[in-house]
Amino acid sequence: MIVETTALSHMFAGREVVRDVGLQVPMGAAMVLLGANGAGKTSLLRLLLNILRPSKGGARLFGRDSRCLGPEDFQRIGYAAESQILPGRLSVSAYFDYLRPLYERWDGALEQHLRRHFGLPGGQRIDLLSHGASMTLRLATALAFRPTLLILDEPLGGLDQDVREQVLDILIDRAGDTTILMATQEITDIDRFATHVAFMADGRLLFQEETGTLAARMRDVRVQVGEMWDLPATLPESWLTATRTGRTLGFIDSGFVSEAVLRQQLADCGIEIGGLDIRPLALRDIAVPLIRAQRGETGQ
Amino acid sequence: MCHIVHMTPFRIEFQPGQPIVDQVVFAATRAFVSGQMLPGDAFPSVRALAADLRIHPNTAHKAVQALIREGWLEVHPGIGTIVAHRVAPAGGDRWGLLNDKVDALVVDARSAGISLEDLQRVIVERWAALDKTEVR
Repeated sequence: MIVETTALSHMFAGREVVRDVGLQVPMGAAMVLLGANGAGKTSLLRLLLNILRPSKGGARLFGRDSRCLGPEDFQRIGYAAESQILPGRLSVSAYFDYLRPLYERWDGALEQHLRRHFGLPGGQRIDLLSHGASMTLRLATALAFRPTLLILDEPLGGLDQDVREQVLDILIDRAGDTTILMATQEITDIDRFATHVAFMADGRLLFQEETGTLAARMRDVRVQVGEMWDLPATLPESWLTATRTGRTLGFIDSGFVSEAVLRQQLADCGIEIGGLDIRPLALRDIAVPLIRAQRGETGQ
Repeated sequence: MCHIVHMTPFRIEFQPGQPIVDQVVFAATRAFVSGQMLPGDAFPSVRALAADLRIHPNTAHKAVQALIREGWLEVHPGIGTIVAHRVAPAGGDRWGLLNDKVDALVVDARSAGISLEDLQRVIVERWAALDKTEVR
């Protein structure tokens, strides 16, 4: 594991914004960290980077306690976040000139490739860059020293489609050599690229798994039900966002095994099945119901 | 600097709910059995495959490894990965997992109320369609 946390927690303003998180990022993975705004994604990433300190538990990066990370460790960790402050009065070229000697493994050819790929204008003052260009500048400076681990906080937020594709192309190009941990809400473009998905809600890590197993267990289910029928008081916990419209019961089954098992579960709930429609879900369609289900739970 | 771009010679309409690796392996296998890619043809590198299909290079690597195991691809050091002169498995192996798939197909067809004649007709059509995808 390149990143491993144990019961990692963080208190902010008297509230536990990260609670007992046990995150494991395998070497070479591209893990997407999903969750609603305020779920604790940014705080978790900052804990890993030793920007925040744990109130309980701990994190290890390359087997080293995050509280002990020093300059030599940051030679191997790239970090790009929307909130990162850039030296606005410098030109793009001057900023690269400033960073280059700070990194032993800085790759000049890769720097040129990244600058060309993103079309970053060398002479432009950084505070005059567009939102998209300043995000790609952060990404380019986080990648040019060939980090072993790349931590990204909402790298695609507010970017135009073509810029998002440029970012994705670069991530695909660097992945494998670089382990990627990326907090994001925008998964439309990266659902094929992500190898692992982790999901946070209310400071907790609800699950982390390979994208393939997540896709295999999530199904959009629609049941045509018999006439005299009420929604049973308790449905299986794995059925998310269950709603009844007329004679149709719809829900996301987050623990799908097979149609036979699902039919048995429906029978156990006393639901008479008129018709059954089971569809797989794209990763982007999984995130929204999960976030909604979580909100419903905390709202009770 | 010379930069060779290998466009992946098969298209994939990715479907949700199925592992990406399996979908890549299936699409490549279809390209081989339809003659869209022939023995001796260069197969894209892992990097090119990942970039072209917008998938993780580890996923592309797994797909290529699976195709090598199946005997569809060969690695030639210094040249790259090429489509192999594949010998189909002999005897009982030939059917392998296919028996289960045929069983599943028959059960699904029956439960959907599809007649044997219709199923046979569709199989014949699909069989012929694979030959038509040949682009050479």
